[in-house]
Amino acid sequence: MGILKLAYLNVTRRKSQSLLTGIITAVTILMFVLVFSIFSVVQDGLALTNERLGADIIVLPNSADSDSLKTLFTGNPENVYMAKEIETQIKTFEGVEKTTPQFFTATIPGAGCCSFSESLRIVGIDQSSDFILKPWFEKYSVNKMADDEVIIGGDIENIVGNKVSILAQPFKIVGTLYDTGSGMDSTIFMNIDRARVLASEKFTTSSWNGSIPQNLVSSILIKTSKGANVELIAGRINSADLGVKAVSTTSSISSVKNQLSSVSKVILFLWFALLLISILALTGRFNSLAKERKREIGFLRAMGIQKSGIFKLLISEAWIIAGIGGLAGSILGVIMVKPALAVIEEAMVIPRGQLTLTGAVVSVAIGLAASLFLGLLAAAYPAWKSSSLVPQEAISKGDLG
Amino acid sequence: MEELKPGAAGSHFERGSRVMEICRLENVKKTYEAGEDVTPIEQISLTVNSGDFLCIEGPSGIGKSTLLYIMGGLLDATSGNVYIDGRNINQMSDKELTDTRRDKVGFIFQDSNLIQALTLEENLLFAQNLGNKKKDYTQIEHFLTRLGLWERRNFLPGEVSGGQRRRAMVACALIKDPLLILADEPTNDLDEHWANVVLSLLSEAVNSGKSIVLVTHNTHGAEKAHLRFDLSQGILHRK
Repeated sequence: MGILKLAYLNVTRRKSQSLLTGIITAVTILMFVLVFSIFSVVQDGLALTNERLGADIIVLPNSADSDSLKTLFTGNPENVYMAKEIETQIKTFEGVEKTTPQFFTATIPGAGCCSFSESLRIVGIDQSSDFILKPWFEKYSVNKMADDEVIIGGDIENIVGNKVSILAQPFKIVGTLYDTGSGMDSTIFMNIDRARVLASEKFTTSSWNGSIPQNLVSSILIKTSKGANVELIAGRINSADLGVKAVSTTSSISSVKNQLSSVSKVILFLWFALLLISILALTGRFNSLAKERKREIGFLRAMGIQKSGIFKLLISEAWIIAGIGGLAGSILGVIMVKPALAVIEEAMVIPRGQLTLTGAVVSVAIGLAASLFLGLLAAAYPAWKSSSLVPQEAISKGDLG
Repeated sequence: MEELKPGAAGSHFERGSRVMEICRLENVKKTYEAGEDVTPIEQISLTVNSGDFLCIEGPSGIGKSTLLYIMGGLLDATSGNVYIDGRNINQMSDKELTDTRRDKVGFIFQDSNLIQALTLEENLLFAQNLGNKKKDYTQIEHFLTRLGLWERRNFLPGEVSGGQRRRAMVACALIKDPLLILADEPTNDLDEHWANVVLSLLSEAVNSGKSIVLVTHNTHGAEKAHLRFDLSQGILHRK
């Protein structure tokens, strides 16, 4: 029987001592993995949003309540529209390279259709000018969508070729998008003209402010020329009295980045405080465990176990406990990412995202490594102290009789 | 002071066997601070040869255990030299001294000392495996049976009585197959029957060439020894 087996038996047969130590480790690592995973997801979401937005500026009707961040990250526009001619006017601004309009029809419940999502958005795109969706086509079977065809976001569970019913109309799925970590994932895209027809059938004429859907758009996405000053162009559009608001997407993203950076600093500080408390608690714990076993350690030394053997024994025990606690904490942390994100999304506007399998494995691996480091850090001094004990003092607790 | 050489005085083992020096104390003195300077060992010279069974008697707290600790390399002497198997342990590194304890010395401590997370059987297995010795289950079975522990072999030390723990400690010391067994009150907590079994096992070890130094504050077991000493005022007196 070697030192490692003895360490394993010491941990498993002293359950109550090991359990408390394991719980302290598990909670610390759970917090670490949770914070780490959430920030990874949000950072990935930001990067994806940045990347996918071929648009540098998003133009919304002045009366739209939803801010550009919501539109960017959650794809949650309202039934507020502007005249489609505004796009033509915007094209004349210096530095505007491309524009494409979108038309938001409605939000429908996901369960009624074909998705895991709570709700799905129906958005019409102009395929002749679209530069937003094209980079995200995963499977696309036609050059141009017909009126009864749709492209679905990555969150929507269905397969190309299937027929689905949307607002009581039959549609054929002709394309799917990669996961973008944004509202696009739970959006059904169709031809803009068909989206307008659906909207006119669903809503009363009072919704259109004296116009008709065929003459309206919900948003205009702008790609600026290389080297153009995006903020300046957005400012010029806003000053042009078009009844619209133009928002630079890069400034929106950087505002979220700043927001996240501030929150992350606070969370990082709190986590470091927790880490410090955990290290102190675990050091105290390992110290008292070593003290409880002082006589036994003296006995092992008397039997001929080297100082290095005692150190190895105690560090191995710490690693087994920290490893098990860390693994449990990491797995729990990963499981809690989704509900935690939901809570955060309610409180602040952040890019939608989800932890991928690879992300989860990386988080668990990092959590496990952190727990082993924590175990080593907390047990090193007590282990060194115990291994340096004079055997006689350890055995007789200093009593020379 | 005259050096005491028990082996030379005639032990059971030396008849017909080659006598070897196992442990030698040379003018050993031990002083420690406990409010004031205490000197439990004033000046002791003693040679223990193979096959010697020595008993050191004396009242509690007189320094008997201290002497055993010094002999076994668990405690440094203030002055003097200690030799185990011909090597001065004062000149050994900690690693060498630990290896010496592992290979050549078996301790039976006054208080029950076992590895708490191991069953009695596993404690014996651990002791036997020290120094990469081969697992010999026959020996483990032999000691567990002789010491009445077979039925309790799968119990943890905390689950058995004090007497059973002490018997297991005796087994742990013997199963290491050391040259020198240092036994500190080995029959404490034992009824007469088990005390006699333990003393018989120790005698058998002596007959097979091991050396035993037993310390006790009563006469139980002392009669089995070839030589008996009294420790008083830091000096050994032959009885």
